[in-house]
Amino acid sequence: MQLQLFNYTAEAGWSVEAFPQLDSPNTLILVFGATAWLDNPAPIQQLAKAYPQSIFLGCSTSGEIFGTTILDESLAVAAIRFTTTTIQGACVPILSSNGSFDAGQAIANQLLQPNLRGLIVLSDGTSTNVNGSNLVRGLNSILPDSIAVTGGLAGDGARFTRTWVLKDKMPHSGYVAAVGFYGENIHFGHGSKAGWRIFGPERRITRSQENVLYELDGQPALELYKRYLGERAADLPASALLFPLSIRESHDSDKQIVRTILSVDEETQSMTFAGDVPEGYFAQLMRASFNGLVDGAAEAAAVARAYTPDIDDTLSIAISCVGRRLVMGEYTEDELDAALEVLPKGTQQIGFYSYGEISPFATGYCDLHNQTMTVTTITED
Amino acid sequence: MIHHVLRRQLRKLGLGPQEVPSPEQWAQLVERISQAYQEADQERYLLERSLEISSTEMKELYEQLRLSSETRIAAERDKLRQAKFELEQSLSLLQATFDATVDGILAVDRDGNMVSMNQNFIDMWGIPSKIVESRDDNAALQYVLSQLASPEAFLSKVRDLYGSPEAESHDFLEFENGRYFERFSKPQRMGDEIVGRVWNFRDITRRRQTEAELLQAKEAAEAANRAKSTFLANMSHELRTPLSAIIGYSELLQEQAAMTGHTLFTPRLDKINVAANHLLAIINDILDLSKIEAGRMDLFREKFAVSELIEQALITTRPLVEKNNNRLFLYLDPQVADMYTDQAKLRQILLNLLSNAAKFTSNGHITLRVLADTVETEAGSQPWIQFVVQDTGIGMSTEQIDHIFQPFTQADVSTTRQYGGTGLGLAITSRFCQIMGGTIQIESQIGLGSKFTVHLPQALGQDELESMETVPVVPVKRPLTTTENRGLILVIEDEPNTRDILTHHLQREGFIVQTAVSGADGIHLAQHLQPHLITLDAFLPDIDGWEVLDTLKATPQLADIPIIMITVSDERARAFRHGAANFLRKPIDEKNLSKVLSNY
Repeated sequence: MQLQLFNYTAEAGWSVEAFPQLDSPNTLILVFGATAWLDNPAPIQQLAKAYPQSIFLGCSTSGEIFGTTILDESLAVAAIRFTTTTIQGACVPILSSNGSFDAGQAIANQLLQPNLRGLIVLSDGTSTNVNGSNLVRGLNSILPDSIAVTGGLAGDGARFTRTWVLKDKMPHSGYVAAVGFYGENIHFGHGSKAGWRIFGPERRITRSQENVLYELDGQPALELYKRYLGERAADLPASALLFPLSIRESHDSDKQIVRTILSVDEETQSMTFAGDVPEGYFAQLMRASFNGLVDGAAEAAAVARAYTPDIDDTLSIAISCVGRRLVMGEYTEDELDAALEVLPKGTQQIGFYSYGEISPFATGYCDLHNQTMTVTTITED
Repeated sequence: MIHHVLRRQLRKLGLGPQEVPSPEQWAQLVERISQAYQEADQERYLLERSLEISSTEMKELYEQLRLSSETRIAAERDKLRQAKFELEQSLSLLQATFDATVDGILAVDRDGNMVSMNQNFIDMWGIPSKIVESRDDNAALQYVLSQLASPEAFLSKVRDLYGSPEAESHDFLEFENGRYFERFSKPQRMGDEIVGRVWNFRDITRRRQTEAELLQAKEAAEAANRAKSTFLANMSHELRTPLSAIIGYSELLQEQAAMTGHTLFTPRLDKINVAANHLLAIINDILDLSKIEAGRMDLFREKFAVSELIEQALITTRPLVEKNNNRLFLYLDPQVADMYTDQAKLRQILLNLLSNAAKFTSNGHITLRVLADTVETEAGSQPWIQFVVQDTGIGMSTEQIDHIFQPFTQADVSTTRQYGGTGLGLAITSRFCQIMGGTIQIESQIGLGSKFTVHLPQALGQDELESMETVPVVPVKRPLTTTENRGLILVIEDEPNTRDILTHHLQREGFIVQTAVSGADGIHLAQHLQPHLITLDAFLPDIDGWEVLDTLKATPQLADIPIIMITVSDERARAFRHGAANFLRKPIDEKNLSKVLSNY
């Protein structure tokens, strides 16, 4: 496996003199960039021209991760040419309210072959019909649980307006794209941790529909958030990311899932989350602890490392939630330091701040997470 | 040692910790540091706010929890208080009952040790206070045993019951001094478990004495009554012999006086004869009654045709009926054939009832209805026969009805003077019904008439035949012809020709016909006669025929009588709608009439 990372900013241009000579049918070009490239895709077109045979996978972000640095308004690129592993891309539109599920099934059907080992999936993060939970359900309905599925929902800074994923090497809204990895020599590692702390009373979800939350304990959920946010309520929906929701099926359930907010609707007093918030579940507000978040990132990387052999040419794809970035501000890069520090020496890290992370729960089927740092490591023998 | 964030901020500007920044770098650095401070402020703001709000929420939750648990505890406390009150109430009720009862009550545990007793128990048994206070079970038992006529029986009963804790008992205890106790006992249960036994003693010495005295008095009274009856029977016999001579000789003298032309004596001899016959009737009745009361009235079972008996009875009573210008109607249920009972007594019953009806009715109607019936007994369904004698005579008051079956009673003293009779007829009739295993009932109203219903088993049972002599069965001589027993039909018709034709046809069909010329008369007669069938003209002078039909159908005791509606035009549907059983059109066609009548 040959691997090279480089980036692009409007001020400095490409960080490399010439694009690395890695083009091949087994080359994956990972591209994470600002939403703005949707209107001005020139640098992406340059990449497409430079890697005509390669498979592209990319999306817009709420911050591009390049090594241990966070960049905005840039393009972060990883070029990976596999030796024996073969790869295949797929991209389908999200068409209806059930579109995420259908898209998940379609992707899985397109990519499922006997020697499929892993799958990285990126989805539009803001279109009306996007529901990360349904996407994951669609994937799970087809794929066996031995196949590692990771990925995330595209971001749009803290704006929550529009996102893109690459389709035919060009940015488009309203799509789900994925790459499948085939062969015996590729190794996937994955870990996902939040590190948030729950606080305050646990409340019952008394009214919701899929990923739209209306009431907690019979009171409008939006009102509760506004009460906690005080003057920061003016920054909704972004400021609601400061208080993600931890949900679980019952009081004695250990499986807690973190849900992050996507949008609010003043008229119906509702809040739309990146994944389902089922009625009857119990919800508790969460708050950030800087140390907790940083430790969480390190733990996620450590879990991912445990799956893979220690090989110098390791690629780490870090997908972290925009909520973490909003909370940690100037401290955010601490979690990138912490994650990379845990991984084998020489590991190269790329990734993005997202509107939702996808990875398996410890073992078994993957799930949609929010507010986590999700680390996927890829190595090839 | 500088903060790692600051170090990263410097690094991003391409500076090391020791390097002096350029003016632009300095400006950027200041901006980043200021940004970090602002973020820290905002973070602190949110943290402080969250802490406050969630603390308030937690406090509210705690309050809710505290209130709800206090409410729950208060509710539990109220429930307990109520339960305690109810318990005390039932305990006090139990104690009051224990003290107030006239019985002596003793409660013992499973081993027979005394647990509780009321004052009556102590008083009834006269247990000395020394023993009561000591609670010495054995001493108490010995004291009780010492008073009983058979202490062994008492002890064995007690032992039996302690051996079977579930058992209940009821027996009597006889005292040596003649006192008598009734004893009950029941197990005491708590839930499913038997925890002891309650003994209940009742002093019935007085009651037993009274019972014995009453029994003696009753026996004495019965003996006296029997002696009276025997005396009467003997006396009646003795009286009849000379009376027969008086009657015989007065009749002989009547004949001789007629032959020898001594007509002057004829009325006087008549009076002697009538008076003697009256006296004989009284004596015969007294003889019958005293025989019954002396228990010496025998029954003779024989088989006979009811129709024949009825025929004889009607022939016998006809002169009496006609004397008061009455009309007699008969309805004999075709299902009634033979009876197997005492024919002579049944004949006397019917003659008594019919002659009474004739005697107390003038210018009216007397009907005899004989109906088949069944009575459910333990031995299954038994055939019975009903004889109903109804008149439109003077009737009786409720008071008179109350003692109409007692001997020497007529409606009142003046009745005897006006109507004659011994006043023994109904008393004998009712006793005959009883000894034949049946009943007699009366319904009557002053001015409207009386109705006697005799209800008898078709065959005399073994119970009634204890001292019966076997008599040969009399074969049926002649059944009534079918034309004689189709029942009573009431023709309500104002038009004379139609009325005559109908009457003629109906009589030929075997009905007894009674006619009414107006709606009011028709309703009145229907109520009195309870006819088997009614024909009703739709056009009547007073009340419209349809209205008469509605009235008849609305009267409960008449509603079941089939009514044949007769009209000029075809109003079949209307007739059936108003409840008519059938429909005929004028002029009456004989064939049609027969066809319609064949249904009834």
